[in-house]
This record gives sequence, structure tokens and C-alpha cells, in this order.
Amino acid sequence: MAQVATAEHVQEAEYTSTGLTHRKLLMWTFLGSECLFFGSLIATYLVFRNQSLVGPYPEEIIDVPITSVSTFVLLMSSLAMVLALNAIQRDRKIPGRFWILGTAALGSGFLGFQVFEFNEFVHKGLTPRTNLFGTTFFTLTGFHGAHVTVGVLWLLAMAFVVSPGRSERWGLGLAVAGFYAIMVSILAGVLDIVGLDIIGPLEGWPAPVIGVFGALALVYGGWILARAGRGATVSDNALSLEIAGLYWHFVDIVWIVIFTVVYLVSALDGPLAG
Amino acid sequence: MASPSEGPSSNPVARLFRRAFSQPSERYFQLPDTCSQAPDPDGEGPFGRAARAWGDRLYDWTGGTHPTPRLYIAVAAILAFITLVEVWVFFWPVERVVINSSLFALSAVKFVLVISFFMHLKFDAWLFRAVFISGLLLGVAIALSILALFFKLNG
Repeated sequence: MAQVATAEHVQEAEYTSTGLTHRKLLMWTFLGSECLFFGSLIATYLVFRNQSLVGPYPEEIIDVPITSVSTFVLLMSSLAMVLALNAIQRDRKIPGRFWILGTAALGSGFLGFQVFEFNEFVHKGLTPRTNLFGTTFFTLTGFHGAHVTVGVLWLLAMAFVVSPGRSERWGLGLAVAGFYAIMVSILAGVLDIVGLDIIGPLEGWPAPVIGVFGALALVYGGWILARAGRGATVSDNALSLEIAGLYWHFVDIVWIVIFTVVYLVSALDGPLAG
Repeated sequence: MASPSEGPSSNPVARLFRRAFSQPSERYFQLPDTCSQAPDPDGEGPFGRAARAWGDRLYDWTGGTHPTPRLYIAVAAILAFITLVEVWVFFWPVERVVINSSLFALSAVKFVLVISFFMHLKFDAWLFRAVFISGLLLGVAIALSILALFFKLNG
């Protein structure tokens, strides 16, 4: 019995040359490189700040109170994330899953605010092609939104994955692909409604069909995961959740900077002087 | 030739020099011999034992070196409060330079709070800190270089 336990322990042990977990070190390295990425985007936004020749200008469309609420939502999602990790590290499965799903829900809420804001801006005449403000604004906040979307998908996966078996992998793959298809379908629908001609082949019937297939895949994948997850311990995945949490908090700190630079500092920007 | 610290000398100048600056241990200034293992005097300082008691209480409340949910909630409350202050500062009827400087300072505080407590960088290994801060500094340097280049090209 003791030999079996030891063998299992050895099998689970991870090789390390630094005394630290390589997966976590890799995530920190990745986050360091992401600083370069977002640093460049933010600098580009600042370079083209106040350079637009035609409107709408930030002073006409930016709504600071609404964005403050969405910032608050994202900050609270970070709190939910650390509470989830704390629960999972103490092997408390149900609160852990609750807080993981809560984080994903708050992240989705933030994305909802962003979709609402983009929709409002497009209705007021600001698109990525309107002026320099539109180009830099949509690029910067759009990339951040894409990062949040990846984080939400990751968290949904973490909420359901309890042990890396074959059936779990299939179920997870189906559920994540289904969720992604639904998101694509909704986004295509929103872009179609607001009249943004950037969705190309998804215009018309393909978007709803993708959405229906996505929903079926999500339900079937979720059913597989629910069956496979019974009885397994969630704390096996504490490190995986910690790594997902690092990514999520990074997305939060990037938004802290974007909120200051794009919304608070630039909200009163008007036409190009002279 | 003997140095002033080496043995007795009949030269009065050397003797005077040795008395003024030298000690038998060959140190120029002899520090009092205290025991480094001895505990610090209790209750020393302007606040007596109160400062230490409050520090201990805060340390226990936050879970010491292993953060607890209470600490996370406290940090989240501070972050939410700073966000409120940022919005308040935004509507100040003063020069934009003052407002923008205040906003950047508040944003920096939020940034540090999240990476220190929520991302556990304060409690984690130094290598993680070094890797992330290297990337962060490089990112800031690139951003500043882009801004400097642009503004130089545009006069």
C-alpha cells in the first residue's frame, strides 16, 4: 500500500531545476511579456491622443460613471478569484466552484458592459475606421476584451475539470468549443444589428446555425463533465487554478491602467487644436 | 617601521596618535560590546507597547505570512474605495495636470495592491517577482521610448 502511494506521489511530482513550479514560472514570464504588448498599445493610444481630425471625440461619447461600474465589477471578480483559490486550497469543493463560477459571471458582466459600450459608440458614429481615437480605442480595449474572454473560458473550464481523464478532456473540449461558438454567434448578431460590415461570411444564416450547434455541444460536454466529475477532489487542481488566477488578475491590472489612461485622463479630449 | 597600533613606542607623536585613533583590537573606533542575541527593550519608543500590540493584532488578523479571506476582502474594499476616489478626483475643478497626476498615483497604488496581494507576489518566490518586474520595466521603457520618439519627431 505504502509502495503504491509512493509510486503515485513520484508520478505526480514535477521536474524542476529552480525549486519552483515551472508552470507558474512560465505564466509569470508570459505575463511579463504581456506587459510589453499592452505597454505598446497604451503608448500608441497616447501618441495618437488628441490627433483626431473628425468626431466623435472622447468628450462627446465617453461615459465615466458607467465605466466606473464596469471597473468595479472587474475588481470584484478579482476578489472572487482569490476566494475561489483559497477555498480550493483548503479542499472546499462547493465554495470553490461557486467562487470560480462567480468570477466567470463577473467577467462576463464586464464583457457585457464592453459590448454595450461598443454598441453605443457605433450608434454615435465611432467605429475603428472613423478617426484615430476610434482606431486606437477599439484596438486597445478590444484586445483587453479578448483577454477577458479567454479568461472566462479558462475559468469555466476550471470550474468543471476535476481530474484530467480522457472523458473529461472530451467533455471539456466540447463545452469550451460550444461556449466559443455561442459567443461568436452572439457577437456576429450584435455586429449585424449595429451595421458593422466586418463579419463577412457569418452574415445571415450561418451565425444562428453556429449558435445552435454551440449550444448542443455545450450541453453535451457539460453532461459528460458532470458525470465524470463525481467523487474527484478539486484540490488536485489548486496549482492550475492559481495559474488561471494569475492570468485573471493580470487582466484586471491592465484594466486599471486602461481605465485611468483612456477613460479618466482622456475623457475630456476634444478636436485637434489648431 | 612599526605602525602606531603595533606595540608600545617611545615616540610621543606615535603614542598620541595611537591613543587618539587606535584600540588594542586594531579597530579605529571600538564599539561597545553588546550581545546581539539579547531581546530589544520592551516598550521602548514614543508609543510604548501600543505600536507593537497593534502590529501583532494586524498581523494575526491578516493571517500572517499566509493571507486569509479577511485580508482579500480588506484589499478589495480599499481597491473599490480608490476607484471611487478616482471618479471624485476626475470631477475636481482644478488644472488637468493636477488631476492627471493624482489619477496616475492612485492607479499605481491599485496596481501594486493587486500584484502584491491578489497575485501573491509579496508572499511568493523572488524569481517570480524578478521575472515579472523585468517584463514590466521593459514594457514601461518601450512605452516611454515610443512616446519620446513620437514627440521628438513632431517637435
